[in-house]
Amino acid sequence: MLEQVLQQIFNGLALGSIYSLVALGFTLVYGILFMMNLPHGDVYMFGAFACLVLMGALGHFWLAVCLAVMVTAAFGILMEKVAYKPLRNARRLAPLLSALGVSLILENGALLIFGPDLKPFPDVITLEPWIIYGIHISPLQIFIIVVSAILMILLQVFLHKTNIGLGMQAASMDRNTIQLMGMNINTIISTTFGIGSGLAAAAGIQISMYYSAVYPLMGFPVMLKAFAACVLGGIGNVYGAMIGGIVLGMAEVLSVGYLSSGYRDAIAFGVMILVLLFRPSGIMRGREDVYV
Amino acid sequence: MQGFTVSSDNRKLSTFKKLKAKFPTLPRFTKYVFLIGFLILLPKLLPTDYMVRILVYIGIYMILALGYNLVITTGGLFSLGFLAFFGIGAYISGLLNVYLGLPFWVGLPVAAFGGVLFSYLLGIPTFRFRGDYLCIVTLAFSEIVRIIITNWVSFTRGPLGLPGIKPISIFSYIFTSPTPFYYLILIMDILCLIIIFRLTSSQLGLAWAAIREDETAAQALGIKSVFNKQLCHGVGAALAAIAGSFYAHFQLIVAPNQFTTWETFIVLAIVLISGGSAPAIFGATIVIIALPEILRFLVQYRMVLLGVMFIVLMIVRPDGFSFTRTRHFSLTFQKKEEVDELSRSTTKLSLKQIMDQL
Repeated sequence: MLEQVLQQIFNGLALGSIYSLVALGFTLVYGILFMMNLPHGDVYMFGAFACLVLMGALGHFWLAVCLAVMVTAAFGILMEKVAYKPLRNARRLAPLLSALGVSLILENGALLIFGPDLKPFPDVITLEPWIIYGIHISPLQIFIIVVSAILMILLQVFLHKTNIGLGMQAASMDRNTIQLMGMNINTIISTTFGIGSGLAAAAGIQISMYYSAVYPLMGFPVMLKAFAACVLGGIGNVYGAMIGGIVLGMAEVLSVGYLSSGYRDAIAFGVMILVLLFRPSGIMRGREDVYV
Repeated sequence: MQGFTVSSDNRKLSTFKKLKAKFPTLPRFTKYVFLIGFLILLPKLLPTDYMVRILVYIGIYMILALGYNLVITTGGLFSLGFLAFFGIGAYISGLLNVYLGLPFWVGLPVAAFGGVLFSYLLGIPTFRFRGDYLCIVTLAFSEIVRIIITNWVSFTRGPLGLPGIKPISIFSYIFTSPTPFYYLILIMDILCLIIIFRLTSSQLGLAWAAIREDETAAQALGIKSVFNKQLCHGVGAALAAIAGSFYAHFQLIVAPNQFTTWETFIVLAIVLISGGSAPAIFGATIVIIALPEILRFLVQYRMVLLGVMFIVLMIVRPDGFSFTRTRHFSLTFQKKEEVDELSRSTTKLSLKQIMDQL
């Protein structure tokens, strides 16, 4: 019994770290631009499909992974330049509609190109799971947790030690003053989108390895869950996104294990609505100015 | 002319104005009489029943789009999960019919009530927040509704759908062909247009417009923000549920895959293409619903085009094609060409209307 719970918690940790990566990209963009990056889930899907296509073209998995992350980051920057930059000073809802448009293009484009079915993703890490105290620990899960942790640590180093990273933090506090201080806001926003998209691509590739499948609509529920994770942890707060993602992953896995698997997506949304009812600023106290 | 300028619609006379100039003594409602007469005769003019079915779908989506338009344009609430209420209305009406044998005329008000109830429940955590939160939370809510409907197989038969809904009947006259459905939906459409017009030009509509424009200022004037948002969204949800109830009894089957987020985007496109005014919704609905029937080969690419349209629309008209009907008064010294450019991009009011407002 205890083994089962520990097993589920460990599974939740693996799934949660993937959600954390996606939530990080989401919260970084929201912190600076106050904008819900609706296509973020589709960028996650884009990363997974890019890896699939590149692997088909190049044959070498790890090279394809690196290239896919870079391509997705570049795509994120392009997306920002085309769809969001012209609307930076428009009314609040204009970039939302544009985001909807990008999301529609990405999802339906992928549906047209790849078809709606699950596409198999190659199994690269095929080692046997270790059994420690009755818990099945597969090397793939260890890989996911370790890589996600490394990426999150790198992100923190980037945010706190580099000029652009500090600029990103400053931009999330006051977007206009940072321009007065001599930093280029375009560079900062492009970097934010690039990093967020790259993290999303990494998450997409990891989940494709976990489930050995990709499909064009995989991004939509993940975007909603990323938002739920951000709300849970406090929107705009980087630590909050990490914690929110892991908590959400564990909640989902535990509910699938003990309640019902059909409702797994609904659990995340239910958690989000509960958080909004009782502690709207989230666990780590994100932005307070989203209130009316 | 530099200086104080007021935008006015005097660039070219519409057909109606030319007709009015020729027949100045006709009553004002003449054009409506012609329009309604045409609409009443329309099913007789169309060759096939299939075309009348399309007309009924246009009618149903018009009520849905009117409700959505009320929420977005008048209320300023950018709710992305609106189709959940359409689905809730359809399922309430369908379930009452299949399990309890209750007819459409009982299912309709219960569905409307259900729509309002769920709108209220949704609103409790969400209307305290700004627009950006609202869109994702409403999206999540509609996903929850869809997931519950899909998974509660014992009750709603899940993804198999709910067949066997009886068509509408009035005192033992059963609606078998689409034509009586068409007349019923025509009456309902007209009623909805009247309701929305009366609501938006009343004090309540003004309160909603105030909240949409500047929520803090409206609250400072004593307009209760959450209460009015709940009311506006509730009316919209009721309209959606009514449309859903009708849809269930017309299609005679409901299934959860008819109420996905894609359908929400279609209705959102209707609201965007129209100028936010109720009659324009009519034209936009026709375009969005009838066009895929005509251009069947484009159906796969329809959504990609929709996405491109959204982006281009926002870049070209970021301040809204339909969101706020702001009237631009230029009290600064501006060149005439700039003012003309400004007035071309806003909603036009005639000078008389402006003077009436002042």
